[in-house]
Amino acid sequence: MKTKTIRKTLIMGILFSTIIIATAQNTAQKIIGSNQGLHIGGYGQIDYNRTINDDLNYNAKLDVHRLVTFLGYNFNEKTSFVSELEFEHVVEVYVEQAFLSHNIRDNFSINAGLMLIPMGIQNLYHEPPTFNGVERTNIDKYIVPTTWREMGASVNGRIMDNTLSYELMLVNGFNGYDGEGVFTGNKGLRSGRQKGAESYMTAPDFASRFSYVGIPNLNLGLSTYFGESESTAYNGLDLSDKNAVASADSTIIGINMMGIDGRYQKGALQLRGQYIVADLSNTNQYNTFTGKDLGSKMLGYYAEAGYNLLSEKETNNELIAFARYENYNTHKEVEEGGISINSNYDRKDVIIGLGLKLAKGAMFKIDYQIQSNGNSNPRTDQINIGTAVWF
Amino acid sequence: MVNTTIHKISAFLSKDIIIFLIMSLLNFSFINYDWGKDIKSRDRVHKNISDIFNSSTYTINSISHDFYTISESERIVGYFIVPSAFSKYKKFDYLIIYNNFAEILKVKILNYRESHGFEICNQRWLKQFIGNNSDSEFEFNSKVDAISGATISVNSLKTSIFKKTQNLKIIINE
Repeated sequence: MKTKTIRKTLIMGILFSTIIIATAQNTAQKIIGSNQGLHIGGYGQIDYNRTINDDLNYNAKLDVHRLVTFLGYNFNEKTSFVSELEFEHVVEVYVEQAFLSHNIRDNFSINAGLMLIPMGIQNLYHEPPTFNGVERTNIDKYIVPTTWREMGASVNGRIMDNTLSYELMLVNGFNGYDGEGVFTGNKGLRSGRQKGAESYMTAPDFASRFSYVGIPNLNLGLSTYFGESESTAYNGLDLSDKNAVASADSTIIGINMMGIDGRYQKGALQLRGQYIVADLSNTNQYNTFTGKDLGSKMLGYYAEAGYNLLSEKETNNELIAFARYENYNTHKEVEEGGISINSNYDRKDVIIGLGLKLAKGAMFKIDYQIQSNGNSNPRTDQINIGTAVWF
Repeated sequence: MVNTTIHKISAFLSKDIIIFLIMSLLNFSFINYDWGKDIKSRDRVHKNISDIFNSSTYTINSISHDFYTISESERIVGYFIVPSAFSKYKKFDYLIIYNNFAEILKVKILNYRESHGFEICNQRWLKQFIGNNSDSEFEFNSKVDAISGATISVNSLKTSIFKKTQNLKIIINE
């Protein structure tokens, strides 16, 4: 027993001293072990949300909304493994990303695995201190739908003297039908995200993004997504059985999505805007077969302005005051001869708030949201307070 | 007697030492980037030096902390270094050229591997480091614009350049 303890202590001692010596060399990043190699980071979003209403009382909700660990490993200069493991609402465990990346050249790499679909700003850049407001935008939640990640392969590269980057991706699509319909008029395609959890695929979809950074202080993006949703009705399907095929065809929709976005940052001023439109086809057949109320066109956009009130002071802290207007409509259009437009789904949000950055990657946020929709329903107000960290 | 000792040693060695070896391999598995061995980077370093100092007859000499002196006719006219820093998950290599007072004359990104944050490769943005001589890290950072969507790379590069410049100032003053 005693020799075993001594042996273990000796081994642990050697291990820890190697680690301590190695980390003493590099203070810029959190790296365990060597100069490069294992790379660990993370982010967290902790929220307080409370609906405010003059007539009725609502309980507050306090939630460790997201806790994410990056775990990456650089095998050599060209090959890396990137992963993000996530706890959502404390009990839901997900993998947000898990892919192998290989640089064929510095400005060209191929990637394979579970990856983020490059649609819109927040699906790609969602570390909490990088955006204003406690929660992600509702457009990104309902129209994009974030966090949208699927399995596939991609290439990305940069051209035009590092001013234009592109990403081209083939991935599995949304689960649209698994015995019953999945898409809804209210949440659009959101419930169909497969997230790499035993995803299935009938045929791959195509996603792309182009980012242009040639104009100083401005970052412009264009994203596209084309494909059809997946359906379990195609599993074990006899392609010579016309009725079965017609039936299966009613369980899928075609998706044509396009987004443009822009970010401007100079000195204390930050401006941000995004516009996303999704054209969905075959929705009448889908709605008739599944009993759902999916629209044929979804549209969302927002415009946001922020200003760092501490920019003139000699401090690393930032106090960002911001305001944002969002409009997202999952029933912008419906297919003729089918369901009718539900104007409750035409939603508008106005948000004003503050973010106090205490250090690079640590922020307190507070904001007030006024949500209304196209009907004559009264508006809903909500106050949000949160902590946002990224390391 | 010898047999049992050997048996004990090999039992000791087998399980725990394997774990130790794996950890050590993880520690030392990454080969450090050697810019001199990368022909493309070596050519770019030399092209930038000869452009800045308007010379094809300079010589370089390795000194401490990965710095090199640039000399013309036995006289030091400047310094350079090819450090590495991290973008989000991957490493990038870049070049800093200084005059003989440790003032930055040029910053150039040599190898940028990550798909995000490549905005820092933009020469117009990198110009903000030229002549940025502050000894206060806050002031040094404030003279360079932030870039939305490239926060990690921007901060990583700023920290790295500031640290290396401070090192060079210490070396020169010795």
